[in-house]
Amino acid sequence: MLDFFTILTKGGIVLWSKSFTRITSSPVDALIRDVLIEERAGDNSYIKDSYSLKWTFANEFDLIFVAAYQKILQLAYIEELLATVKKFFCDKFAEFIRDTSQIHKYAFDDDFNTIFNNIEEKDAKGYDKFSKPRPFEQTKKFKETVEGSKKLSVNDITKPPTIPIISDDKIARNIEAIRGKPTRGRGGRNKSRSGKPSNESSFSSDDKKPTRKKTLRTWEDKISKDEMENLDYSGDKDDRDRPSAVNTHSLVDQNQLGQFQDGHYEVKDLGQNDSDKSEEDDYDEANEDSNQNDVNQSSMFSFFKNITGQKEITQQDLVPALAKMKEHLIKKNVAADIATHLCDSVSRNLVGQKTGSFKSIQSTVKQSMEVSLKRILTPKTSVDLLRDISQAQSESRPYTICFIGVNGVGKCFARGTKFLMYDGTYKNVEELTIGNKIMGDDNSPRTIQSTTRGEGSMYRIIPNDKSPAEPFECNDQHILVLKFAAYPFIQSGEIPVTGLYPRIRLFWYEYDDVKNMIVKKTDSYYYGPGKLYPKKEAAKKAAIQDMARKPNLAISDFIWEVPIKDFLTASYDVRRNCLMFKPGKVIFKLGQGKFRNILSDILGINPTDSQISAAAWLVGAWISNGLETSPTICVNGDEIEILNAMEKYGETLSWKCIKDNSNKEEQRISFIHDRGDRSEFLHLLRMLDILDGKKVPPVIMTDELDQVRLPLLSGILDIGGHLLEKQDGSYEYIYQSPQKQCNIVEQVRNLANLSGFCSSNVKKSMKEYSTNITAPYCYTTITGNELDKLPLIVSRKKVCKHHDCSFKLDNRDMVWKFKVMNVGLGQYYGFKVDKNERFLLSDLTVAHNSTNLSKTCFWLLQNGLKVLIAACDTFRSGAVEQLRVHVRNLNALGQNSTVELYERGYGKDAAGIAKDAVNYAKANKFDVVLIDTAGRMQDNEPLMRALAKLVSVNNPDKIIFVGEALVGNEAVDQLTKFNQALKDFSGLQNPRQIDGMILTKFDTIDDKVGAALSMTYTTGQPILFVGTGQTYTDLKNMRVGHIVHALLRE
Amino acid sequence: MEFSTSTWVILTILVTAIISIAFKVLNDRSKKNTFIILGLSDSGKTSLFIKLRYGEQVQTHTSMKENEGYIKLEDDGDPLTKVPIHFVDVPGHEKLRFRFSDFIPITRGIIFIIDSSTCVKNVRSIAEYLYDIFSNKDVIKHHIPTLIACNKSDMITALPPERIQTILENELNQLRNTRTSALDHQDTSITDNVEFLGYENEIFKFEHLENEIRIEKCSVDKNEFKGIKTWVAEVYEGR
Repeated sequence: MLDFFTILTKGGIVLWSKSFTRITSSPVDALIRDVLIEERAGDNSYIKDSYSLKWTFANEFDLIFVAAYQKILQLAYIEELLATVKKFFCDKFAEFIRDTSQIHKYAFDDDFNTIFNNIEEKDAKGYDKFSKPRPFEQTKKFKETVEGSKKLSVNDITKPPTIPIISDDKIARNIEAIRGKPTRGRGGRNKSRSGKPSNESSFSSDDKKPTRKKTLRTWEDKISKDEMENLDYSGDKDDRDRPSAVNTHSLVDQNQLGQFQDGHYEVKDLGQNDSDKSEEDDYDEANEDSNQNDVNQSSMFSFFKNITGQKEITQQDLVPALAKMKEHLIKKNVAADIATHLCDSVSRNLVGQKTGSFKSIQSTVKQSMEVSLKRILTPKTSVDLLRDISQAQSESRPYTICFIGVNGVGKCFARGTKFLMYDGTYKNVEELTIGNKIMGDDNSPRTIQSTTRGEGSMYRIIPNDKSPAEPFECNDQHILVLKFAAYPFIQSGEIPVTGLYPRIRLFWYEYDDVKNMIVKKTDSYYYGPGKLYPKKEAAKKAAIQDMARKPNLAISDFIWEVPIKDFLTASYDVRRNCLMFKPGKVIFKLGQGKFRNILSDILGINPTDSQISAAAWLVGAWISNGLETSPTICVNGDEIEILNAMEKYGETLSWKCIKDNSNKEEQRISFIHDRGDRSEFLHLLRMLDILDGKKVPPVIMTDELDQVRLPLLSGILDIGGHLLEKQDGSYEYIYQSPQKQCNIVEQVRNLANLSGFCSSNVKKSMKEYSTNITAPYCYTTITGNELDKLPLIVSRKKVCKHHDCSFKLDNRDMVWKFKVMNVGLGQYYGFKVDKNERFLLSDLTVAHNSTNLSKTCFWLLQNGLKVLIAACDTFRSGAVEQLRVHVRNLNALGQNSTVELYERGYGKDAAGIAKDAVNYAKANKFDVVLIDTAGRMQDNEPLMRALAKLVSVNNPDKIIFVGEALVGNEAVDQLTKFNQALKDFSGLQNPRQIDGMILTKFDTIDDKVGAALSMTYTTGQPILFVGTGQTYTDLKNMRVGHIVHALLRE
Repeated sequence: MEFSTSTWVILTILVTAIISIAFKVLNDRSKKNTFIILGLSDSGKTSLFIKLRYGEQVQTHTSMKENEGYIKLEDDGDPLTKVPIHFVDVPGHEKLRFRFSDFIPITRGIIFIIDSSTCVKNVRSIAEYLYDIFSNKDVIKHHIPTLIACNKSDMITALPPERIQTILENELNQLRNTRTSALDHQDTSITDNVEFLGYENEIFKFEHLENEIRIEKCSVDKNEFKGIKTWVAEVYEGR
């Protein structure tokens, strides 16, 4: 049941209203404030308290029609009611509404009741009958009315796609139902012009219905809309009194009225309306003339109507303009949903309006959009933080601001990409979960903070053959950590160009830290008589001098962290000079000591370092020693060095070395305990679990570097490796496995790579040049600038580092070239880690909550406030340290400023820390408490719960969301989910919401400021500040005009 | 013949268009004869506007659009001014009030309406709005006189105008401090130096402002707004 119906102007004046029950608090104000002004009119309905409200606009009259009903009811006919009432009301009271010289009494009660009863009844009878033609009186009057109203408002009925479509037909029938019925004698327009609309409705709808229905049966299913129109036209021709267009007629009326009354009609509105109206005058006069003329002429008029404005805007007119506008907004990085909503809302506000003089639809839309954008972006609450703070000061309590935000979108890899875990094992990216520790580039763990997955454009990174790395796939956001290795160079360009002097050209690479891009630059030094440099040498010298002065020079060892996306936009020269690199040795703190323990079990004593090394070497030698599965090592008889070493190692371990000299060529060596004949070596191999299948024991892979891994590798190479001296003077080991034991080669390669060397991919075959037969060999090469550190026994296999080894010690061996190949769309799996976010080859970036917190802090400090920073990011390791640095900097910057850090380390309950911090601040008279929380993904429920708890426990004065200006559609998701989480998990009656936003990286987005709009639209909250750079002063207030301008700029 | 008819029509339209544009420009831009009614939502701007215009009272809701019209001011049937005066009622909603600055160039005087009964609760919003008005560069440049009308004075909870004045002055004083130390705007290319309201090192007083401020109590509901009418007439006639 309908509770309330009101008709008001956009100026807020109620023209007519009717309430069926007592309305406690008017929901209309709330509707206007929360929906219409916020440009959410694209929505369908609005629920306030116990009411559900629906509304429609009549833009040609600036009217709003609002219907309210109990929200528990499902009233399907409300839209129909609104549309019908709108059409009827606008038709009936057109002059009243236009004439603002006096207040009119809108005698609409009876008409409304009739319409309402009619529609409600129809609804009650169900849809079946609903669709049948309604009573249809064949009087001229009826036809005129329908015709008139049709002319007036066929285009007015807004039909946004989301709203059930109410056909003109249906509305016409509705109107006709009441028209025909109660007011036979109403002189229509003449009467209402007199200001006394008739209300002598004598028949009740119940009386009339059955009879009418009977007459109508004959028409059933025959009267289509077209037919009705045909009928209408015929009716029209009969009727000499009425001009065909009620609309224009009424305009003439109004103008006459206006002039008649006070002579001021022409200045009703400021701005465009004046000229509109005078043109309407012309048009009307002309129109009356032209009625006698032929059709050609009137098409001429419609042409003029088009250029001079005055044309009523219809939904159809708007479609192309709005589509264009929507596309434009999306291009500016506005979330697609929001662009759609906005365009719907603008369309609702425009349909039925008249275009201004000489205005195209496009510019009208643009203008209307501008107003809407301005409205949305204008904050509805005060954004004066300082004033809020001084309020809190006067209440002698600290003002608390809580910074929340997401962490960066993980940079992602394709399924199957392997990662080295901190414990030395490997995991595929899709198996990684939050809390897993992967190995960082500095031998410390990186904890996974969050994981994501999705689909996107994928790239394959293909390292060259010589490299130790395997190809991997990642998304275009993936940040490559590259070494840039190009020195500036000089080219003497003596190519004689006509009219030009010969020149020296200096090329260099410069790092642009704003765009994070390396650019190749060049300068020319012309030389020759009369030039700056008389001779070539002088030019060269100048070039060299200049070279030394270049800032931001990107030379060798410059590490460039660049997203693949950007990398691909770099010039070929730059890309060519980029190399991937690997870190040195990897030390596993976790895996250490296992070998030691095994050995101590066997020896019965705590082994010394030399004992461990000896055992490791022996194991290595054994592994490398063919297919032997017995605990013996076969050594060639002339390998004296090895034989001696074995004896020596045996002694070290107090093992007896037993040589089997049966074969002259080959000596079999085994070890037994010196007091007995138990083979200790067998025992060791068994403990390492490698006796049954030869392999590099996994426990050793992650063990101590110097005592275990290097001796092991040496043992392997002593027996099975070859040393090659390359042409450039550097060395490499080739390790090959005679039989097809590729797995061992693979493991040796991993071992070498983890131990600080660079071991290339395993080649699965080797071409014998002599026979040209591909032999089934597996081999790998091991290079590196620390090969001399390997404690090899065999002197000819040792890399010497004496005078003439001409050992190239640059890092060339640890870097390699690579190719990037687009492999199209694919699934990616991403994760985010802590600390410096570099894990061997990859790197991720974070949205830095704490950085923006510090900027805000700096500003507060400048205003003489005492600030306490609560380190509640107890999750991301490094966060507290980061804040500590900030606090130190901030204290150093300001002379008298006081800023303190309140921290309780990691892993504690953030809500508790925040509470303690606030109490501490209260006790120590701090003015402001800034709470730094961990960045979290909006889908991470446990973390969102924790955040909601922090907020509900501490009830901060402001909750500020720190977001990146770069996000597009994601922004909406982030904010809604944060708000939802704050609501769902708070357990409070009136949960808190985000109070404002800080947009970071605003300097990087040019005019793609869509995120600002998306965010304000989603939350309805203002953007407090925008971050425009890296320093403390790079925090600015956002200017609404600027954003609007940027959004609409072509 | 036909051609000439259409030519005529074209000419007529063009001429009228030009005249009307010229008229508009002359009428609207060169004269500053408009009075704008400002104030927070729910303070009674639209009611005042309707009362002034029609002498009647109607139910109103939050405005989304300006109401405007020419109003003949009368006092008990005696016209106060010779010609009708253009009034604009600007919506008070936070998101819409920026429109007021569009009207400032044609503004003769500002009527700022305050709900006396909720004044204490809303003092910050009121002061912020007033601050925005007073620091508007056109208001400063043209010394646009402002009437602060304390509406709803008939309510029991209503404060006397003197009290409202002190509250507002205190609040504006605070605001002046916080606003001047706010962060820079992001776009520094547009440098509109916010004028410092009043005198430095002195507590803010309305009389320190260069434009004339009057505070008047009124009650639109009870038809007690003669003060507004006479003020408008004074300002209008005293050109």
